Amino acid sequence: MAEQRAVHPLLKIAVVCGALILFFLVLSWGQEHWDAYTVRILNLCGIYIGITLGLNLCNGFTGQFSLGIAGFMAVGAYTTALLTMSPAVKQAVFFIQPLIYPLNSIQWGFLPALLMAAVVSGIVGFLVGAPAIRFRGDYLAITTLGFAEIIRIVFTNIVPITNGALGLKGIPPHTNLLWSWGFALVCIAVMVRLMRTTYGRALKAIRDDEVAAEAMGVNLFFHKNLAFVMSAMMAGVGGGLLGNLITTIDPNMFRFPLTFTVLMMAVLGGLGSITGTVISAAAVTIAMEAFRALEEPRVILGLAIPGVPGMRMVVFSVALMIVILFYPKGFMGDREFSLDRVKRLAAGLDRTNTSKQG
Amino acid sequence: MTLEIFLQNAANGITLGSLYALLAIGYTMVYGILRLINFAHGEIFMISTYFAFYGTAIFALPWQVAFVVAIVLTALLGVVIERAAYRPLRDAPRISALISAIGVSFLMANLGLVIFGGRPKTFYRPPIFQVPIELGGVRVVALFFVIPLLTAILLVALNYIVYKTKTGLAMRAAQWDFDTTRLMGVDVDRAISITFAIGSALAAVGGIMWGLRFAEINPNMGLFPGLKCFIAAVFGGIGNISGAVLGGFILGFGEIMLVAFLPGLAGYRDAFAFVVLILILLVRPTGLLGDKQRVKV
Amino acid sequence: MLDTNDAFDANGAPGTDSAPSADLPALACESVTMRFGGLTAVDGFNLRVPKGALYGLIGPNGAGKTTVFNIVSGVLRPSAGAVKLFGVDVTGLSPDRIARSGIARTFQNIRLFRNLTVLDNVLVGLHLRREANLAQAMLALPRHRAEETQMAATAAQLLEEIGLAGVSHYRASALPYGRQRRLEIARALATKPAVLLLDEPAAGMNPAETEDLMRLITDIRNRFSLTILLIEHEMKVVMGICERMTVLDHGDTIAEGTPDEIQRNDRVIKAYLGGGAVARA
Repeated sequence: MAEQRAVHPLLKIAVVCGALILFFLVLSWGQEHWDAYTVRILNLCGIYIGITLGLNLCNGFTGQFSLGIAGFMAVGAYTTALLTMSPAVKQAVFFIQPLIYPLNSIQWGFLPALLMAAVVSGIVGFLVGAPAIRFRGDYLAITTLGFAEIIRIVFTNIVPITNGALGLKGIPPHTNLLWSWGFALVCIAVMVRLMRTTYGRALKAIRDDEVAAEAMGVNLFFHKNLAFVMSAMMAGVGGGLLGNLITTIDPNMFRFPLTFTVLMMAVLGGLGSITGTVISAAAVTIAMEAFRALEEPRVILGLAIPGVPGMRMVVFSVALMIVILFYPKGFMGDREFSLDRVKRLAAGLDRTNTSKQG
Repeated sequence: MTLEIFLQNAANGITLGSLYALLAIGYTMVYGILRLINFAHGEIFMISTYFAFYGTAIFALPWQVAFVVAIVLTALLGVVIERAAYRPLRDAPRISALISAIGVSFLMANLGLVIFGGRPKTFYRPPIFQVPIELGGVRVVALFFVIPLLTAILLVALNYIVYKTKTGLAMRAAQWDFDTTRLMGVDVDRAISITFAIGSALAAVGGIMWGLRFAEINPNMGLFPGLKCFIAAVFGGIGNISGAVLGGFILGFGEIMLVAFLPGLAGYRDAFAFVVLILILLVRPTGLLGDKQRVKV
Repeated sequence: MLDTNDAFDANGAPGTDSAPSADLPALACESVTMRFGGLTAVDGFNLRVPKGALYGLIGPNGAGKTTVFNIVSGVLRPSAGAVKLFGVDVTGLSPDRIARSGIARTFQNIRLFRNLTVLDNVLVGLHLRREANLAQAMLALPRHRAEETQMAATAAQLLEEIGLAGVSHYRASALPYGRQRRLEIARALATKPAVLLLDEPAAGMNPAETEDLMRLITDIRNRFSLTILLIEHEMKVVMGICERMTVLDHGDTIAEGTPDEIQRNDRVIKAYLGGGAVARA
């Protein structure tokens, strides 16, 4: 045990801070110097890492298979957009019915708007979760999917707040690499911390055996809602960042395929693995953009290749099927990347060797 | 609202309810035997309409033949999906099978998009179904009678298969316990395949009639009618065929009447089913006709 | 004994610290009845387990023993009657509140947290006695750090005492059957119970393992000053270690007494022989 504590805590903190500063320096340099396409993809990577971690907290670590993530993203995206758009733009966008007071006259900074998105989506997460967590397995899945659809349909219909099906345009493009990767890092830190506390263990206990967990004194209502609300908050902030990245949103963006995409990232990386999620979310985001080419008509060697809409999702559905049929635990299972294990050893936690058996 | 308009809406409601019922049966049968929401059922329904469409439009088959071929092909498709995507995961956690089902659903919807194209196709509607019939001052086309009537006939046939034949007995036995059922000399795999074949065939009948009723088909038409029909099955009591039919009718009828009586809420039509689902699960999770489920500790 | 164990002792049940009354049973069931639809699984069940007792609840399969356990541990809410812990009514509380009030249990079909390590399984048992709230835990404030260290030490010590120290980093699912049963007991002990319910702890064990287990059970009763209620359908296990027992058959209590009295009871013999399961006493 003694040699595991060899790294001095202050040194560790210094190294981590140094790495973070360097990381953000590179990102802020890249924001100015990399081409727009690269920056956009990297932004999406950061955002999806955070959102997928949120989904994994609920679906993977706690075993509460929810399909409502798109609904929470919608809540966050609309909250952030409505708080950051300027009153003049709002007036122009809401030409069918004016936006209600006080939303029509306020404009917040990005950070308070994102925090508000976290609060609002957290509340919505609780309202959805409190009744839904009484259901198990597929019933929870379909109920949360239902809630997400209800959110979307409500957003399509409350025109004085959401501008209905036309959606919002002219959202200020606040999101940059610092925001998106800052969000990703906060989510990673929250997950890593949470999973080291007794609360994180209780969540995993619920995943493994709900009845036994309750018999051991784990309050299911509190802990399931904890996972649900945190997951919704991460999705909400992610949605807010997404809205302020692409600058237009409408309710149809937040349909089931969006949830499917995030779910796929989590499953491919391994439900219950933080590192797996990070790698998978980044890889799938990049692949999604790269495969966009499949759907666009282009000329290769003088041959006109028509774009095939739907081809991307065919590829990804097949990837998902292969993983679930042949590697049901994803690429990482519920294990973490070995570097992380080394780090944990350094932190003096000597109970990490979960892979001792096959 | 005049009586005529009400009757017109009632006819719409019964027709839609029949279609929902046909799809809901597939969900309820599969859930009963595998405890799995067959997410792909909606896509099976969607693809059946394309089978029928290509049969009539490309291969120029007489519509009767094209429809029968479509039903057979769809039944086969259901069996193949079970073999490829669900059977390997039968002993895996149920969530894996659910993810697989979601994967199949997306794969088929997008494959549909790739193969059939995103633009809606016009479904061939044989004139015989469009003959106008006047009844009690309401003019409807023959199809409005054909759909409920055919649904009723199929239900009688299905009840016969499930409750009066050996195959049906095997299917019902497998709902309880695979191992015990196997020990009784029943081929569980075969029972499951037949369940998928029947469920998919009924979805195909529903799909074809959907095409006849709404004239347009597209690759995205599967997911949401599918989910609604699963909800209908839950509403009626999952695993229970009569319950699925009842749930389908109530949902179809309710949706039409909601729009008819409260036009202000028309925009919320698609949310109706989900609200019903959440309420029923909170108030009476076993559905209208479902058995009481016990938690085994 | 190390001083961490004092926590177990001090943390008795509500009411015990101030006025340990001799006639107040640690656990009591008063006319507990459970009906499932038309079936009465348990009918007017009465039970008084004195503090510190090792009490057996026996009966042939289907007698209603596990139903009683599920009622006492809060999984089922009885149709009628009351469950009392040191005189405090705990009927119908949720399982986690029952656990907090001082009743822990094991399961007939082992229900471990299969993907967690052996140590983490025990740590989950300690979760309900946590002091730090979520925010403190997340921020890793010094007090919480100390608590986590303390919890890990307590868990490690529990594993030591139950004979699982060498395997604390294994996944629970990797343990052999007998050790999984022991881990379930360790996990239940971690909740610092006053009353421990053991649901067929010897099921599926060979005679040597059963011997070991019986020793362990008497041992932990003394060491943690527990009251233990034990379900068994095999007579031999209970006869060997229990001081008193109640015999259930088809939901009815047919006998109550010391092992000697039970062994001579005609109705018990009839129930076991008539039920097809020969008493191997």
